[in-house]
Amino acid sequence: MRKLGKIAIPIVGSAALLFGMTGTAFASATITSGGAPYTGDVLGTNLGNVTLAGNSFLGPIINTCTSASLGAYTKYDGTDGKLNSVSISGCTNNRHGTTTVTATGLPYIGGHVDHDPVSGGRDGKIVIDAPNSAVDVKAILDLPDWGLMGVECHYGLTTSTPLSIDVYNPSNSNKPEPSNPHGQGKLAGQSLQFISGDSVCPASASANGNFQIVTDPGGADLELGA
Amino acid sequence: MRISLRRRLAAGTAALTLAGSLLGAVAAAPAASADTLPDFDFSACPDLPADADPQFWQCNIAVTYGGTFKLGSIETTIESPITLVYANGFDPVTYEPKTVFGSFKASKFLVQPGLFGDPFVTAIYAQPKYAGGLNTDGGKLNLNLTVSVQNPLLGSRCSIGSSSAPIALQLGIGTTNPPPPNTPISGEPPVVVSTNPVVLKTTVVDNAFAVPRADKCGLDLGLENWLVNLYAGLPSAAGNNTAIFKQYASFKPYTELS
Repeated sequence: MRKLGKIAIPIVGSAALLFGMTGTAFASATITSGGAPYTGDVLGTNLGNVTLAGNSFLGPIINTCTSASLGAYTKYDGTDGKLNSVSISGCTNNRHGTTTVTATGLPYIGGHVDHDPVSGGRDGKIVIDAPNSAVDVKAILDLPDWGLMGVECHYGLTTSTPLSIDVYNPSNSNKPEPSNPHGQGKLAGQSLQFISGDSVCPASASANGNFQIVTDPGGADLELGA
Repeated sequence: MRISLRRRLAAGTAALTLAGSLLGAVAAAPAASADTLPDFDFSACPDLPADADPQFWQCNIAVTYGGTFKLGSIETTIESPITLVYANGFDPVTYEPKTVFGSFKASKFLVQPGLFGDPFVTAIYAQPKYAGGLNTDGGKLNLNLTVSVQNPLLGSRCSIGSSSAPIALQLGIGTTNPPPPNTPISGEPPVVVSTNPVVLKTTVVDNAFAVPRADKCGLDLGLENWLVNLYAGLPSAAGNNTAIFKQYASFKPYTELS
């Protein structure tokens, strides 16, 4: 008999979040910075908490992380995007424990950026292609309320449904955090699927969060256009 | 129709027994042991709400195979399985949790043998019934129960608790915080005992719930409520009752159910 140790997967959600940000730099449209086409690294930094959640028979496990940053590369036309680094920290969960989220197997390659404006909403979207065998987000959960510590779950993109992140240009008044002057990304209810780990890990994880997106280094704004 | 004193006494005894059975509501069918896993039939899983994303919903089957149930002055060992089927999930954006009840099955169990060896007239049975309120708020399995008390002299609707005043259980794994005289107790964390399908063994507990008085006992009018209340010590305030449910639980995501 083996200890159940893993019930939750919330961490996975966060990993997915990270993916989205990085993997695909902006493509399929034109990405500029300072009026010139931009090819290079970009940095996504969370605006407010990033949350990740997975289900269990005793209710959802919701992880709230106070810090998240994603380092990615993109070509000016949005192709060849790579997610090179992921850092998520300060995660606690609603079962009075902590959660550690780590993205392994980086860089994650695959995806594109579309200029796909929506009236009153986004300017485009980052799409992480799926399935993507490179994606492996590890979540280790301590769940004191349920007597479970060190539950390890791995999540990836195993279905044909891509992961999508809405992108807002700096001048878009409908961006998630209007008081932040930079371009932003919004991850809302995107899912990652269980790939390995404890038998009790949630089958899917959902991630939510807002990010500012700038060049790295330099911190200059990026613009997504047609 | 007038009920003879002898019958009333028998009924009283039965009522008392009833309380015991109430506790026992758990046991009736062949008891599942730690070595013999119950069957998990996912065909009984409820349909999901129209707006539910099946990626974030799962069907759960919890089989209580042992433990104890103390209601007022009656304490019963659970010897027959109680099976609860339910679906739970959440909105992937708002994280609002939702629960859908599927089914609740518990066999009636004998609380008191017939005074004359008969299994019907003077014997008393009890059977737990689902009474609503199912959810997983707070990381616990919360559900309302009533206990049907079954004896011809008590009528067809005799129960401990009612739909408007049920036994409200909040079954959790963590340490409880009951009012006195009860003291804190803890459940047992889930352990994987099978992987195909995944079966968890766990113990959930609650000893901070109240038990309401008997309802509609005696010609369905409550004429015998006093007898059941007297025997079982009802109503029983929080701090005097305990549920320790040993369970096997299995689950499947709705993406695997079609």
